[in-house]
Amino acid sequence: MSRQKEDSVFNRVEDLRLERDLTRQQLAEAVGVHYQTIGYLERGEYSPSLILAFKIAKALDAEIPEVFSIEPFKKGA
Amino acid sequence: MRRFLKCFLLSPSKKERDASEQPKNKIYWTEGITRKEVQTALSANKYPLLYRRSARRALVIVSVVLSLSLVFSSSIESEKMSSYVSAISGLLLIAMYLALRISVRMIADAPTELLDERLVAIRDRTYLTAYRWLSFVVGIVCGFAIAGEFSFGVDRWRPPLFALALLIAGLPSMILAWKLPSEVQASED
Repeated sequence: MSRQKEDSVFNRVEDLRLERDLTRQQLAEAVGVHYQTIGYLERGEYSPSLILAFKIAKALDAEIPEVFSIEPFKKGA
Repeated sequence: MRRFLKCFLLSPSKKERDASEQPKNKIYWTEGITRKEVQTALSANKYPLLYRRSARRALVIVSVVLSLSLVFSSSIESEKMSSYVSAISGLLLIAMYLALRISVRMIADAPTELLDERLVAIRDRTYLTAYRWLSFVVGIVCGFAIAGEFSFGVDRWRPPLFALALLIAGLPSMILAWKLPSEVQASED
């Protein structure tokens, strides 16, 4: 199956990060990526690998479905 | 007594502990880069202008122009003029190559272990594009050589070969510089 550009994963990384009072830099250091990668993720311009998704969910103290979804999150969820 | 020695005399000083906690600088010979260089480049904000798309693209355009001037310096009739043009173009091209590496935060030359998965994916896609472009350029050069268009002496081959060598070294950085968005626009941190 080819990887299409429009295949994107929706996420609540920014909301959860702000709720936990973390900066992008702090979250990036916690999961071992460049801080810009967190920015790309939050804007939906990059879909993480499974291992990175697990690491982010763990750093945000949340379950994967709370952070990532293949369908858009409902507002206020 | 042994316990005393262990606690007070054999325990490493704070400076030694700090030094051992920091990863050692490592030279990556095949990439031509060090760990420190990459880590510094990835977190640096020393040259904010160089991280803008317009500046990166300007560097690419200037590099291409300089490469062409280096290639065509061989065809200048006057030998003195030809050597001046090739020397100046060559030196400027090296400077452009170094500036390009900084502008793309050395992602194109960095080893996988120093990049995160997004940067590795970007680097690998860049190399695929670079290989295709390089095949095209080398194909044209070989075509001319086989057809006997480059009939001048060995000395006149030097500047075009130097340009080709720099193109091989710098093409991934050039392609990355052309494609990457402006960092101010991308990160808005």
